[in-house]
Amino acid sequence: MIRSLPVAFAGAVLWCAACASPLSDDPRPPAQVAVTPGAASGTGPTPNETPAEAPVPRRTAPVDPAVKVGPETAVADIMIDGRREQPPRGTEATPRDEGRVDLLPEAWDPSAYVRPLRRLTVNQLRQAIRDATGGDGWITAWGTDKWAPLEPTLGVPDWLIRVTTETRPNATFNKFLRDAAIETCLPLVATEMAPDFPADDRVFLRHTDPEVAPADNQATRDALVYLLLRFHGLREVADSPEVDRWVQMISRVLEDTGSATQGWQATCVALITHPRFYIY
Amino acid sequence: MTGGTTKGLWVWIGALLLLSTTQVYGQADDAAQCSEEGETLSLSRYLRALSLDLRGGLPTMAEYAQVEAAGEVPRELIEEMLQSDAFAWQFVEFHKTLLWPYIRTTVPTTTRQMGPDAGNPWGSGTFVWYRGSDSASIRGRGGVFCRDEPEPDPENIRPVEMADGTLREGYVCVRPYYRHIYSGLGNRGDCPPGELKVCAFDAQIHRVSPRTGVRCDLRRNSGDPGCGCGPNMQWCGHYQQFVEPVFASFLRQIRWVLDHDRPYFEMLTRAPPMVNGPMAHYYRHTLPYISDPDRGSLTINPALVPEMDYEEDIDRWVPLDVGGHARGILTHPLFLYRFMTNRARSDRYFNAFLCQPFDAPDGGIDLSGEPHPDLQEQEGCKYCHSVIEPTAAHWGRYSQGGAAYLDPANFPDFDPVCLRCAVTGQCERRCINHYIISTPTGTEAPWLGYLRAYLYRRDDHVPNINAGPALLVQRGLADGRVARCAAKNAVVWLTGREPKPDERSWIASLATDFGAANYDYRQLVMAIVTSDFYRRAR
Repeated sequence: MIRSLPVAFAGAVLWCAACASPLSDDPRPPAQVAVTPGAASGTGPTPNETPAEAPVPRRTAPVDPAVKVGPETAVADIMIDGRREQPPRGTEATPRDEGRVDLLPEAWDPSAYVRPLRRLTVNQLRQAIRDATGGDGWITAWGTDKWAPLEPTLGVPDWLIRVTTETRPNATFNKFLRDAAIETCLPLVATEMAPDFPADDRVFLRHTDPEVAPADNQATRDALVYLLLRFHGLREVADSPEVDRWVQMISRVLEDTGSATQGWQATCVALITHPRFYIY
Repeated sequence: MTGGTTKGLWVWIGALLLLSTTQVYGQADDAAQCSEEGETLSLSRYLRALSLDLRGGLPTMAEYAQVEAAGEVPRELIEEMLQSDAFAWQFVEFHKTLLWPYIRTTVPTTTRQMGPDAGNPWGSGTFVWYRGSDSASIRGRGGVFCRDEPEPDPENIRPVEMADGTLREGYVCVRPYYRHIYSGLGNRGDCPPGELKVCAFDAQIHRVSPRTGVRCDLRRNSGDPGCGCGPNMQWCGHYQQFVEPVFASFLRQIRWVLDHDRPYFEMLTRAPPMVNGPMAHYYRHTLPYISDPDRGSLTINPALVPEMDYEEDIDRWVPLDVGGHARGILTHPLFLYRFMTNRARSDRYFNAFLCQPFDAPDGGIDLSGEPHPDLQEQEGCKYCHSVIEPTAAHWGRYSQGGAAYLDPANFPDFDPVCLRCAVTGQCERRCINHYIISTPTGTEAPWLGYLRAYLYRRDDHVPNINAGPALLVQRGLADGRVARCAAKNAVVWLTGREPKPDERSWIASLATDFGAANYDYRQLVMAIVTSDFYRRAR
């Protein structure tokens, strides 16, 4: 933090230097500045003159009343494009809108007010798979939850030996996530692909005709748009590059296996094992 | 599905996993390099994050549509999430991280265990039920059960001497107060449906043993031949039978503040104990049975607990109207057993609800001073114990290593009986357990005959003992520490990391608003999740 302060300050100075010109009212190029020792002061607007623009509040430096500014302090005139700079004494400041420039950054730490992306907890993951697939999630043939016995392995605290929740993605987590995705997706898609499965009950293939093999067409793209929103919370349009990638993937699975069912199964597994599913 | 195509699918799945992982991590790296400030989540990803944090699951498609139509996540939708039952459970889940509610081997949740003679192989036995651990004193050998025939006169049990030298009685039919995990075995038709064949000694219902005159409603006398499991087997059960109900009652007490729109701090010292069918039985019958009166009084008077059906009322939770000493999670049996010493209880409270951990100073602790029995005076120790000792005294009326309440009627601050025992050495167990009766260093003499919590207490700390944890919480409320810590904890929960120094002023303003809103936790969460901070993620 301490070491980053000079860097941040230097950055602020450089940034302000870069933005100073556009904020000036003078449309001319940046002035040539020359200093002429002993030059006299010029004139300025009188106190009774009406400012050209309405005053706006702006940040100013605090004034120290102990500091006296008199002629004896003027040791040099500053020439700007051949004209003497007006001395400050006796000059009424004319407020001008110079934009809102904060000399100090709001946060010294650039990572402040930014939350880190997090992995789902096991509870969230269990529920997210249920919500996304519209089923019971990862369960045994007897209906018992398959996540529960894995909880200690996946870093769920027992509040005695372990009192913090592990939420970093790691190889163990990815292994079991893949298991869960495969064991959930394969029966889900196979069930919904069955000809006698009611169309209104379909969750994964809601916008898909199971009798039509997926290909690079509008129907497939619409289905993928729906699935990306349902699984990832990603709002895409049908011809977006993101959808292109998924179309490409499903098309190549289809080429390799010749099975529409497997194409959608692979899509389902990929949606769940994608980091966008388990990181938020 | 053919083998070849299946193999093809697996290859694709493997490739997809690799691709998706590297692709997204690659994107994350790029984002980290290009954007120091993080990226504001899109509306739909923001909605997804809200739903995961506030309800623990994904949004519905209708909610995505609602957000898209509105062009924002409507405040009403967030309000709806905050009012949901799922949010209350998320609130509970978060508080587990503060309270560490381990229970399995701490709280005494096991009463006298009953089991059936299921036989070997399973299901080939007599199906008579008995208490194996009390068999030795009743039948002459441990693990022995009764004869598989009705006892002719259960009021006058006459065991028969068997060839192996054991004395075995017959069985009686009993309807137990709940379905044991092995109740499915049934009774082989020897009793009416729903009743079990219970060995006659174990089925006795006497409150006082007709043989020895001891109390049968205390577990320590369960081996008496005149004592059984009581009416409907109410004093017996199975191993760790009450683990889940006690745990659930703790969680219910946490969420009570949300369920009743009460100020957040009332969770600590005002939330009433909650009971369902099993918990009502636990407080009415089991806890009095397994508790030792010399260890203290019951925190909850069984007479105040309504009679509920063990099976039918398993999902019906009702609050108990009990005194202040039994209200709030800081006096729940689970908390008291999880943190068995008063120092541990104070330490957890300071960590979790005041955000003041007892950490050693930079540079370590100076232990060079002379040893002193009072840790408030001992060099090195006093850095923390000058606070821990007086604040631990707030639990001075709760037993350590237990959850009993030392009520003033039975455990006065000063007990002349215990002072006398300190002099004579003839001490009752209650004096040994809870009073200062010796002076191993000589410095304890002024407190002889006082409750242990009085030892080395300064005059201004003495009120802590009888005021209980409620006064401790009150002090934290008065100086704003409870509000500030609650705000900080909520930020940690919802942002996934500890606050940075730059964010402290924002948290302070959250805490101020939280206090001004009468500690409305939903409002605090609303302020956090609608901030730019929450929506900016990297």
